[in-house]
Amino acid sequence: MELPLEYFIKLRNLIYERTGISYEENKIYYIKKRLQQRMDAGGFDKVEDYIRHLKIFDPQGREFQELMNLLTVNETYFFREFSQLQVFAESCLEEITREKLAAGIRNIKVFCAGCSTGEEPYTLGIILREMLENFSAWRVLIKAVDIDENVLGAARRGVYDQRAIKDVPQAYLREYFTTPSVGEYAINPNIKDMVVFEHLNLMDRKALRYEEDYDFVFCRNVLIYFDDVSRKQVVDKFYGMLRKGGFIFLGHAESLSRISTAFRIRRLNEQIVYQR
Amino acid sequence: MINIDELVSDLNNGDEKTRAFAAEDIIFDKIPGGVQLLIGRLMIETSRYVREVIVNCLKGIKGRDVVEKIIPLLSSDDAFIRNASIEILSTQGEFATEFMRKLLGDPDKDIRKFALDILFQLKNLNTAELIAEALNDPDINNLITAVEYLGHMEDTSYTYRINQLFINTDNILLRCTCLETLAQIGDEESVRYINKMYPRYEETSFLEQYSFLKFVARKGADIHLPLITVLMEEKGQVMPKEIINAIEGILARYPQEEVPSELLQALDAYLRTDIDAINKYELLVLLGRYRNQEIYRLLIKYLEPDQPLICMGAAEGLGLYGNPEALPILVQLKEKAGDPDLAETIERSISKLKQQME
Repeated sequence: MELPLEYFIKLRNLIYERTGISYEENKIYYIKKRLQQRMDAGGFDKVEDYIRHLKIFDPQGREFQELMNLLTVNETYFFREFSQLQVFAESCLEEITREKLAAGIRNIKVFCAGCSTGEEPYTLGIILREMLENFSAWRVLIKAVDIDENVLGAARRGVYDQRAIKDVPQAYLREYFTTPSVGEYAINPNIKDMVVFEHLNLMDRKALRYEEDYDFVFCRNVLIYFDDVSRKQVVDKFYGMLRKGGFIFLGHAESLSRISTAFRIRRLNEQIVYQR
Repeated sequence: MINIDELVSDLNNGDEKTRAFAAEDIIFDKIPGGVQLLIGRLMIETSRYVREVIVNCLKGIKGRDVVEKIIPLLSSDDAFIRNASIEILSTQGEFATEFMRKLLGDPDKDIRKFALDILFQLKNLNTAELIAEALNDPDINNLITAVEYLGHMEDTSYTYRINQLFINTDNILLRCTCLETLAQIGDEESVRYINKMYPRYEETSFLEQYSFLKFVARKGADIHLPLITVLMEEKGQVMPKEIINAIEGILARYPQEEVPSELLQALDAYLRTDIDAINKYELLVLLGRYRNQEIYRLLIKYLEPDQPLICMGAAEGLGLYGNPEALPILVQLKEKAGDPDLAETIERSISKLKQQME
């Protein structure tokens, strides 16, 4: 399939307008492969016809969603999107703890939306344990939610394969995992106990109303599954849950700029972060 | 049991979360007069968060009532309210379309512009026809907007009108917009007019060159290639995408076995400049489709795995070019390729070459 840059840019702009996800030009190959799959499924020979279909003949956005499902099928694994976690650990967390210590408060609350099988909340648990000075003096809560009961079951078990732990530094692997059998890695109770898993539908109007004073919300690569109005509703809910000064993290290619103007935009260590 | 008074009171509570939740509940519970209540709050609300929630709630309900109550807000002095009104009206579908027809006749040019923006986002069956009414708008910005939107909507019913605007206007911005719209919906007459307007490269202003290239990319012919070669040499660094698109477009519409030798020389030189890797990738893939002998050597030259995207373009180009001599080189390269996408591209080219040898 040919994907001239002109059409790549058109498609990229369309995706950005509708989802806030931005693909760099070096992703042309990544997109090309997935685009081909959708074009084959829909019987399209030319990219321009497919893009026209998305723009004009797909008012419900069904085909667009199919394409996005392919583009966003991401493996979930520990320490995914490391540079973002680095900003969380080295800049945002440092800022929050400094403020809290000055106010004599020693609690940290993290909300993890669309936590899937638990790799992200456990990663955050490891980071907090590593980064918080005098960890035992802090009260830490990581609430991790997902709409799918099956993935929550796996998250609660906390046993992973080689692929999931491929980016875990060796020292952390030794410290925070055991190997119940060959090729299996079980997260240790000292991390597991930091995380509370809950079944929750983010679109439930009242579900998040009583959640408050969170320092961090992680909602990475989740908003893509919502339509425009729902996406805004969910982000408004997150805003209401955060304490003033709290941070929200979206996927590294996702942006809030088309979703909400309520957050403050900051640039920390070459990363864009959003703060209440 | 819903307590309406309590909800109304909560909407004016001192706590922003209480106000936001009240706004959601008023709409969810379909409280009579809810739309007016929310609009009233929106006008005095200072919290950005609550404003966002109210706007999103208003977007969730559809009907004439919402449209009628929101339209006056288009005249607000507050930019947030104006933009929010456009957003809300753009979600109203058929309910909004007829009201927009009236707004297109509004004496305020800004209101007419908002009506065009809303119609464009509505994308109903009648919206192109309504947008085309603004081709008679006395305000040049609204006229330009209408031309642009008709192009985006790819509605060819108005090609004649836009051809006429193109040849009759002295306004350079309108001419550029016409060029870009005609790139989408132009016909043979458009090509004739445009060739007549720009007989020589020197006579094209810098601003128009971009739009002209966009037109040529979609509708241009091989007679435009010499002009593009000149542009490549002079402006290749500032508008590479437009130039490459124009070349790709023309070569695709006028299939030939070989790239004209002057163009190939220019492309060879262009590849040696500082244009972005993605542009080089695209050019290398493009060259792979043609049979000139020089192209094989050119593609081999760019097989450097330390520049994955360029290397990927060369490897993909070699697969298309189809010279089996490239096979051992690609096999060797694949072993060195660290980048998984690059390795996969090389593998695909290897398979293609093997298939051709069978």
